[in-house]
Amino acid sequence: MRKFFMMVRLAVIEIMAYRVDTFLYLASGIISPVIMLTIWLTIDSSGGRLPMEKTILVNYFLILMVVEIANSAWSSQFVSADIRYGRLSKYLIKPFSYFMQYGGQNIGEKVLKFIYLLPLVFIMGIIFQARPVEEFSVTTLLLFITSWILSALLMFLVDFIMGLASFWLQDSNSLSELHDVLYFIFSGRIVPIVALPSVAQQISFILPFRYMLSFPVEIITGKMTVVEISSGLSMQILWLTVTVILYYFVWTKGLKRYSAVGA
Amino acid sequence: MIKRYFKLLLQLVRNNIVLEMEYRVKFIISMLTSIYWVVFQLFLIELFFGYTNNLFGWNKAELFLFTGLFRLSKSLFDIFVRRNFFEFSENVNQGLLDFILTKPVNPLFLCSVRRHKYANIPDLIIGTAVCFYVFNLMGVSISLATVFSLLLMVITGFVAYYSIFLLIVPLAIFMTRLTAISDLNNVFANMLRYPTTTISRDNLVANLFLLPVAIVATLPIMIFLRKGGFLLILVELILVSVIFFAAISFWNFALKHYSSASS
Repeated sequence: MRKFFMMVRLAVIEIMAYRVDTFLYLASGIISPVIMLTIWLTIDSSGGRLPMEKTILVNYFLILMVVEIANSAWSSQFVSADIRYGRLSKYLIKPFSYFMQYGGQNIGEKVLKFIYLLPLVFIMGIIFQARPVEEFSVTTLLLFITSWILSALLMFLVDFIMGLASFWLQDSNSLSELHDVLYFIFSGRIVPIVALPSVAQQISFILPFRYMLSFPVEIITGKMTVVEISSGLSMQILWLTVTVILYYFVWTKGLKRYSAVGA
Repeated sequence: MIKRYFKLLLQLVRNNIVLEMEYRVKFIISMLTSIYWVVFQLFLIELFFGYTNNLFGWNKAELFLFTGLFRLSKSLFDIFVRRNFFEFSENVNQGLLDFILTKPVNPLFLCSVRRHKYANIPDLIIGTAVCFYVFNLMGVSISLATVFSLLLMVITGFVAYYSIFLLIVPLAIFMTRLTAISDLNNVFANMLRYPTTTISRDNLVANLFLLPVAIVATLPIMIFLRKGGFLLILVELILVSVIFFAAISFWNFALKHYSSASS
């Protein structure tokens, strides 16, 4: 664990050197939920109806913004490059796992992002006249946090596995493009799941993407029943188990293949 | 002079075709994803219009047209310019810009159109198809004048889009790292998916923020749909040329301050 915190610290130091870049990345993460929220509010003010109450909608997109930035994972492209250019060997002889290297980096980079993010979200809250979540209880908060942690783990693992696919694929870029395609519809990032057509909704309950992003947000903003929450959480745990197993499988199989190529 | 550059461009096209054909699977996959994004865009509009019958004062057909037209301008940028602008920061960082500066060609030309991405060609086809579908829907007769004004708008949009990016890209010369340009492109494309209508008087900040969107897409299409009147054409032309010349002067200014990686 001490090694892990060291990784985090190193990442924080590195990211501090690129403050403008980080800010721009953050801005691009914020802009999409803001635009979608603006569109829904325009629909509301021009006489249309909303898929959910206005205050809930505002909270949904603001919290989604925070959760998405906290969960965001971008290791796959680096993992893929490490494998293709043989840089992976360098990490294999180090006294900490390769997974830990990128996990620590991921968390470290978020430290700076959150320093920027929190005041921004506060300002957004004022602009969009956000009001505190109704019927707020300690239980929902705990469920929200649990589900949030699970979703962040799931997001990171899925991304990491896509990077590891480079053991077999020439170019895992197309894989992540395919992932993005599905993620955009079924994660609730663009449109809240409840606003989707019912067929798409049913699909989103099965696919992992909702459990990578919007499910914790739905817990804290929506009035979900106990059944909905518990079935969602079990799906989340199920997908996490599947990805963990897949990770071990891909990593051990891939590493054998890799050493065969390198040596 | 123009003939020389034209010949050069043709040669670049030939080189790039050879390059792209080396990675055929990748080419096909990115073609499919680019088709998907347009469909997704239209699906979103369809979804929003399930909740309302006008968005920002535009009806569904007009928004489809907006999507199609913007897609055309953007795809020109994506095919010929995008990759070059993304690589620019890396070129500066690694000192590769020296090789471009020493060539007997205008550096802006080489930094803008050296690498192409033909996988975005379906965008052009789909964009055109969407436009003509909407014309059919709105009962606009397709004459030579329609095609001509369509072309004019697409080119205006492209010039505006290019100029706005050219205002940002040279920043890489002054900073150590600016890889976030690629993300900024996403931000921009995200914002551009929806029209900014009636520049309202009460919120100056929001207007300034949305001005680029207005110049690239909203104004040209409003002109086309005859929503504005003659004054709008003038405003658009002035704005585009101001931004274009500002961008070029900034580029020249930045180049003067470029000190190569070794000296």
